[in-house]
Amino acid sequence: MSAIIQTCTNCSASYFPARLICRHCHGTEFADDKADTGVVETTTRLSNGLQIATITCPGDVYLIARIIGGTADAGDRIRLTNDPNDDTAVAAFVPLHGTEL
Amino acid sequence: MAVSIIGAGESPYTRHPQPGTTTSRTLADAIGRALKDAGLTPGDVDGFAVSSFTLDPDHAIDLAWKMGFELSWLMQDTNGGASAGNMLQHAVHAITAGDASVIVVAAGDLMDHTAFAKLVARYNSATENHLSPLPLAGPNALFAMLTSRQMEKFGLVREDYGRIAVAQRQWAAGNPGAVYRTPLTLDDYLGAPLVAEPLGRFDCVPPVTGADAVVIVADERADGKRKAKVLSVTASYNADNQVGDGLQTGLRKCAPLAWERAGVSPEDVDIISVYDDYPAMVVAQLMDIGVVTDGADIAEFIDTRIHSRDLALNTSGGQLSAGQAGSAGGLHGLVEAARQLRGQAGDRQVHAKTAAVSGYGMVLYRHGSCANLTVLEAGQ
Repeated sequence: MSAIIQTCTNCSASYFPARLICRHCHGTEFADDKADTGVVETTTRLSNGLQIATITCPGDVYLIARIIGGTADAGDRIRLTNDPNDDTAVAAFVPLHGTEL
Repeated sequence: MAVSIIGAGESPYTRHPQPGTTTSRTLADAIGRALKDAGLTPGDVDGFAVSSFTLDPDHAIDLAWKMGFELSWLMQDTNGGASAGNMLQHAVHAITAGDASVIVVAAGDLMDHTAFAKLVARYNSATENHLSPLPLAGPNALFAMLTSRQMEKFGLVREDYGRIAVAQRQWAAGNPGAVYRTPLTLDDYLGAPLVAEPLGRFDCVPPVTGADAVVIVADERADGKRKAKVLSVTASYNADNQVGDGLQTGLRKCAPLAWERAGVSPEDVDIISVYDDYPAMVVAQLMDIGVVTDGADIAEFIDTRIHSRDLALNTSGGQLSAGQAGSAGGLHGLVEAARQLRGQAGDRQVHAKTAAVSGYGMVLYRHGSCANLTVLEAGQ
């Protein structure tokens, strides 16, 4: 249940959230790619107890995620999931990338 | 460019709007006050621009109709905290081109709990698809992480941000229109409940219902009136594609041209309104417009210039103390600058010949994407 990243089929540039035109090659054809892990860049703890994080992935991709199944610190490599119930081990929940734009 | 602001008005901000309050009536109230301030009537208006998150299902033309404006120029803006600068930029060109001669620029919202929850849940498709399901209700967590990055990069601590909030509250004491005017101490700031670490309650703007408006005319119509002459307006949109740390705004790109066109330098400007959705963004924008120079000791600048109120910054109390009236947030700073330059700022009046007003807004996914800078000069 990885995070789903948009990839340009022409130049392989990665995006999240999805874009309409690739800003590197100006291509308009994209595919969905799985991202299994990322690196925790920054975290915050909300007053309701939830831990929210910024996760980086290769290709200048930044994801906003909720940490589930434990806690995370900056610098950790973390498993990515698009299922909020996939919390048997620590993971970063990244709501599904939709194809609708 | 020979265009001036000759009137400014604000519908009283309130945390808890009376039953029956509507966005349209709130906007009309601010517009009426601005026209009265300018010594004009609705019949004089031939150009109108408005920004609002809560006008739906009405649009700019509905407001024009209901206020009896017969127009040759009309626009509606959707740029949130950067809406004022955007509307002003267009209005200046419309007047210069002869498309209109008296333009009202307005922004406002009915922002009660229900409206605020609806706005932040469906702010844009990226928010609706990827942030709201986390769940996340509003941008506090995003700016908490941005603040953490800024603290780490520049060696800042919570007390530094607290001194900005405390100074703005001191300015608010002189503004009868601010919703929070009771003095705030650094201990109050540090002791307040955390909203999203490291942000506490006093790092976050209180949503209010309210509206702001200014009246803009060609200089020849402004003869003999106290005015705030528009020296320059420049803008930058989607400067970083939401990549990077968000610590630099689009102002980094557009501010140099605004200063150059105005013939004013950032160290010489007398009063500054920066878009203060969070204290960290005050710091970021002061750096981007060159008031805090790169490499400067930021903590010392905050203490010696902002906390001391040596720098006339957000003299209304800013949104942190006056309140954030939805899309009027950007126009609030312009109204304050116009009032200061026209000698109408009451107990908080400072001696000011020039002013700078920044806009910043529209969080697409991680941070704001729209920015602009306006430079003004007092005139008669």
